[in-house]
Amino acid sequence: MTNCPDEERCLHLLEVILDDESTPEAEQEYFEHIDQCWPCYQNYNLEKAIRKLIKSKIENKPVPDGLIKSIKREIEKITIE
Amino acid sequence: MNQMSETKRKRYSEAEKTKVFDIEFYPHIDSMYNFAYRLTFDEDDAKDLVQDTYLKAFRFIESFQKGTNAKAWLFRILKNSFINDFRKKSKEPSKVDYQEVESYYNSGDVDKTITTDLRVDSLKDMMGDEVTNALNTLDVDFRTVIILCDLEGFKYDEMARILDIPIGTVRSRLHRARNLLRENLRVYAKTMGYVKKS
Repeated sequence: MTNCPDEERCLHLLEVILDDESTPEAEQEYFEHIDQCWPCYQNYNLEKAIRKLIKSKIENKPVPDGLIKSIKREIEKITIE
Repeated sequence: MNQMSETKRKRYSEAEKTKVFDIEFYPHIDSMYNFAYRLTFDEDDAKDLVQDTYLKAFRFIESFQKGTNAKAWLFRILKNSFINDFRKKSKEPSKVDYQEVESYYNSGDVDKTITTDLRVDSLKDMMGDEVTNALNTLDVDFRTVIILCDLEGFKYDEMARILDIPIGTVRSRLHRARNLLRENLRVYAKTMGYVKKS
């Protein structure tokens, strides 16, 4: 399969678009491009899927019990001082 | 006290302070604790860092404008506390200079996007802690931008303010961080046999 002749630029655009930091014009240009460019279309789907997976796989730790309570206690101490 | 800042800054009554904390600050405790944990890798240290951040937020509440981005404001305090107070005390090796790290990574292939080398299938098979480890082994500065952008959803300009760096640096650091993370994941996937060795 031939690569997109403008691959680096497209990958850069893709990153900015997925970060929701692009302009509507750039977005339109990009989506019109991927309609006709199979490698870029694949990159788009892959990158989107990878981001989604990374986000879902990284586990959150539960906040320890009583943390807010202990912060409130410390704040009370400052207020009394 | 400085008269100019007096006019600009909001004075909060005790009741208002409590309200700001309850409505705007405490709802972010989950994100704050996880950010702190991903910086320190220690539950007690993360707890201390979060508590310290909230106490500072209380002391400096006059410089917080109600209705503005409380989460970004709190994250900025936490990041500064980590660098100024915490990192000095911790046993972690001393901070590596940003510029040094960036010029080092800048020199290699790391700027080239490597998404095509990583397959979604291999990621799907990975356990959560393997992906977490791949993130945790990144240098703290690269780890931080991934956390802020990809996990917490901050915008580039918010990250620039949280980290005190120009937006251009946010973008390039984020790009490198993502490439490094994908490289870590690719190596993991290979060692764990999730992908066929080529």
